[in-house]
Amino acid sequence: MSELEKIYRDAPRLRSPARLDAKILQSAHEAARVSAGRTIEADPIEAEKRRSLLSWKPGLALASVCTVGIGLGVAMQAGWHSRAPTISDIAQLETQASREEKVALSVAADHTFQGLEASADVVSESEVADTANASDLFIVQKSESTVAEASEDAVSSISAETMAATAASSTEILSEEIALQPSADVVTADSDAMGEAEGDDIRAERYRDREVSTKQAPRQMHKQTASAENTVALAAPPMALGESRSEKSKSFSDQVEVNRWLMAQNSENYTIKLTVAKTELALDAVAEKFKRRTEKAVGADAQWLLLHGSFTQRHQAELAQTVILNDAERDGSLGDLVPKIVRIGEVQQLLK
Amino acid sequence: MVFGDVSKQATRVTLFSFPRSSKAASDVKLLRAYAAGDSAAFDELYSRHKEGLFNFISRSLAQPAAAEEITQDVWMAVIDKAAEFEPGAAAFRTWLYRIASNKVADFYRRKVNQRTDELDTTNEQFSANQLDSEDRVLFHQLLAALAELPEEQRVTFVLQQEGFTYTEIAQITGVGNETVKSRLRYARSATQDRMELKA
Repeated sequence: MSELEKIYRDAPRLRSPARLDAKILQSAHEAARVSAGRTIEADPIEAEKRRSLLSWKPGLALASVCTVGIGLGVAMQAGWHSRAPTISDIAQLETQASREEKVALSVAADHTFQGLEASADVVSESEVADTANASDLFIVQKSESTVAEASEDAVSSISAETMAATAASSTEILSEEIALQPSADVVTADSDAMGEAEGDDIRAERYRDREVSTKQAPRQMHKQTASAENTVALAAPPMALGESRSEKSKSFSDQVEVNRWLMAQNSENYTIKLTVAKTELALDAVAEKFKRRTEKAVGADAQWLLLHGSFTQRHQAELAQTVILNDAERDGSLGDLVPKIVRIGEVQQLLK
Repeated sequence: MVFGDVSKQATRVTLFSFPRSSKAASDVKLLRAYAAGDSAAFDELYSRHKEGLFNFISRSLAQPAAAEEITQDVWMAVIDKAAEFEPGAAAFRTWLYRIASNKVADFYRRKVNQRTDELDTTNEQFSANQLDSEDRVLFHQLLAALAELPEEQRVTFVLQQEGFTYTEIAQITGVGNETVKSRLRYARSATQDRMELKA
């Protein structure tokens, strides 16, 4: 270090005046409040609503249980059986099943489980999209994790009987799905239900080498039964509520459909927008890369505008934006792109 | 929900407010949290950078009154553009100082027809009082010598003293690495000559 630099660095640091700090911080706080579309301090009702949404309360737990109930009800109406298989049913099934059938059985078990998760995605998406309401967003999110958090104190208000009943129902569904369709047909049906492009052969191949002993099936089912607590909120028949993933992917990139949707929205509503240059990615690639982060993609001049939701309140959009940001931070899927909240009208204007 | 792994949703929801954990969040996280409406995140960000930024602006200008005004302008720009910041392009600190560097340049452009060569050391006087008499003299000589440097050389020199690398200074000032080195060489040489110091 030269003498010059030593003189500089030895000098005491300047401190910004307190009045300047106060002025800047005040401006920042005001800007944050303005951008949030409301002043929490000045609006006690809104503040209370927000607090009640963010805190875990028995009411919310009850709402979650209701959501589960509706899901199970629909499942029953869709023809799902409610009778739980007995141990002897399973033993008889195993004795009769050939090795191929056992593989199918295992695949079916896995697929049933995955299918339920996939359908839960659909349920949540459709609910959020239809209502475009941040409260629902929270309720859906909470319902997805209701039973997973059941052991915690927060959900102590849910009675043990209610939990046992819902878990048992879920177990029945899982068990029936496995027990009553022990052939390879199950794989096909289930794959279709999942709405994924991956073929049955690939799926069967993936599991073919797995040695399934006669003891494994009930053990696996038992394991799933134990896990059923975690999936009880997800128990809805695939395709029963909302579109499948393949349909979603299609609608994501279907320009006519997206335009129709966009123009039907209130221009005062908010949406979350990502912008990608057309020169960077083709529409199919955009759909592939971002469909899990945004709902719609629409072309405007040289850009793809990726849109998520249509929210009547800005703070609802902010909640969804925060979830997207948290998610993206976890898996880095958005890269340098920053989701921005804009008025639907701005996007509509771009397409006119 | 389109946001993937459902088992973690509830946890993520609670992150809507910037988490006050013991683990320090990155500047980018803080800025994003602020852009999402969390003003406490801005407080943290401001406390991290306020001193360095104020020193940079003050010593780039050598005019305390103007330094306050420009510091405020810089932070207002951060507030306005928080949602537009792209972390891939530059680190937050580099971005912040680039805004400041542009504001300093704007200030000199505005003052081009006015007398700005008078060194105002009111603020530095206070800080220099903490030095012993010999160091105080040297420090005042340094400030006087810096004030005589061309704006771009002074800014480059001060940025280096604030701990930025050549590459970062190049990003902040919008010139190449070689230009940065050249400006630093001239700045050191001219200042040492004026202060009659050895290289």
